[in-house]
Amino acid sequence: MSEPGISAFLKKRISEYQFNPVTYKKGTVIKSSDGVVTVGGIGNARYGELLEFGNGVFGMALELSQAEVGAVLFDTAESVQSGQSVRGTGMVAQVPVGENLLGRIIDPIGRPLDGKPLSAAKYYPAERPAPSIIDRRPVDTPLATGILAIDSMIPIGRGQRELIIGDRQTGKTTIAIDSIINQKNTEVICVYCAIGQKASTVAGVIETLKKAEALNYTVVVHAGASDSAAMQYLAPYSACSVAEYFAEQGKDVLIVYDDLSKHAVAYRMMSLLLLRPPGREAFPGDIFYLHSRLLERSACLSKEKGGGSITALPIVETLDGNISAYIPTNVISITDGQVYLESDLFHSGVRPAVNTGLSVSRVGRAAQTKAMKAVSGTLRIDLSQYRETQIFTRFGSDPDPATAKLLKRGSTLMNILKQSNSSPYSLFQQICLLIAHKEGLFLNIPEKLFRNTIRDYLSFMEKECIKTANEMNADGDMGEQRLNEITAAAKSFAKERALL
Amino acid sequence: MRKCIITAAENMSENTFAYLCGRILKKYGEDIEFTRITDNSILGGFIMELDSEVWDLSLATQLNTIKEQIKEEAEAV
Repeated sequence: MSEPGISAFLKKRISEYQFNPVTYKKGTVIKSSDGVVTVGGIGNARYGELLEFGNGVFGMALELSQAEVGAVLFDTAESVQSGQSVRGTGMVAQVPVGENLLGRIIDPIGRPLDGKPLSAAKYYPAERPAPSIIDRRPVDTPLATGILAIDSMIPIGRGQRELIIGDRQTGKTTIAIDSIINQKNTEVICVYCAIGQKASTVAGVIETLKKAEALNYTVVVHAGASDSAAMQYLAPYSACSVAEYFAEQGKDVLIVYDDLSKHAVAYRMMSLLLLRPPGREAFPGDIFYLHSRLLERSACLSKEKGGGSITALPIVETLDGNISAYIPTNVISITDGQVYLESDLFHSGVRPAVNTGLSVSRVGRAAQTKAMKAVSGTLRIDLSQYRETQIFTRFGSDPDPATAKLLKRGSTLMNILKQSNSSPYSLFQQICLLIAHKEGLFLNIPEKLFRNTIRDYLSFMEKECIKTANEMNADGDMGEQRLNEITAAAKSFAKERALL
Repeated sequence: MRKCIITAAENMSENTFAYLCGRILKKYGEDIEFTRITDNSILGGFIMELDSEVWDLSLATQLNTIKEQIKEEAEAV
């Protein structure tokens, strides 16, 4: 703006200025312990209202009574003294939203954590109502994760909520991060919400995203293990508000909550300190509602609402493979399916360690591409037959030829489904691998050479069917002609390598 | 007895203070005890606290509001 422009602007603003007194409620801190503060004198505070304690310290009013207000602090407990004055802001917790959040790392109340200033044009409250029934449409578009085991057998649609569940160190975060990386060049916006994670782990995740050039379409919302319980509690809601902004612009969004078991623990801590009655496993009575209202906000919006979607990948950690514990069963019943990761599989080298028997996608089939539907039909049955036969023949002598063939096919399929991290497959690559399985082309490859052969096979196929590859990745269609072309090319590769 | 604390800068005259107290008594009833606090950092005007309610009519707060508004608009431009 030019100099006369500035003075005219200032003059106009001053002449338009209206004198409004600033009014607010003032209370005093009566008690402060473990991040929970009792405040007297602000009897008309609203549920969830932000309270200002001075020096930039904020809290949230959660326990309201006539004389006192129980609030949780967003900062450490040492930052508040008893007798200190408290100011009710009249606002609920808010988070900045908008395009300029892409590539940024923020905390749940919108303070940037990457050392750069953040200016936002718009703020959304962290807690917002979920879209109503009339605002939704059925899930019908696939969201490719680039992971063969998932895209073929447990397909995820845009607007779906698919739980990733498993013990610690089974590759849960890896699956979520790989899915984010696979959204490159797809115009899908990603939000990664880290709740109660180690700072070193989150730094690693951010580094992986940066390396894969995935950070520029991703927003990271972080409330670490050292942040207050209130921050960890607020984090997924804030992240969801950030995602909702993009969905309302008609964009497709993928949001990862890593992880909701730590979120439940943070909420349990807050509730116990607020003296709410404990229930099963000491979780408060509204622990189910805590997650259901969060995950209900993921939806596939109708055309009238812009047609955007929010796909949620919540992560839950189990203890010793116990998926019937309290929080896992809650979240399983809320979500539209789960990807179950098993530590035994992980340690036997099957990575991603997806247990296909216990994993399910309740709406994804409707959203699977025609091409994938055409080749993935029998995979689940093949795998479960293999598993069953494997158990039966473990102690027996030589199996008959039919059983031996089934075992060979099964173990080859397990090898095909193995995939290293940060290397998602395109749709065409996945189809090629599944056709190779269907035709039994890889049965005679020694274990040692498997990875290299697959790599050579995929580059051979992409060279051979380059036009079909591009077309298929764009439209997701199969058709007789394409199937024949790919099968013929696959067979010629097998012949060339003398695999048959 | 309700308590009312009025924070004002040194430049508020005794007459103005008395007038202000009179107006408050008229609006909120007779049973109010007044305390005056002098704070020059508010520049002018006054801040009135009655029980837990606060009315901030200080010059410093108004200037600060103008500053924030102009800053926001300038950023939007």
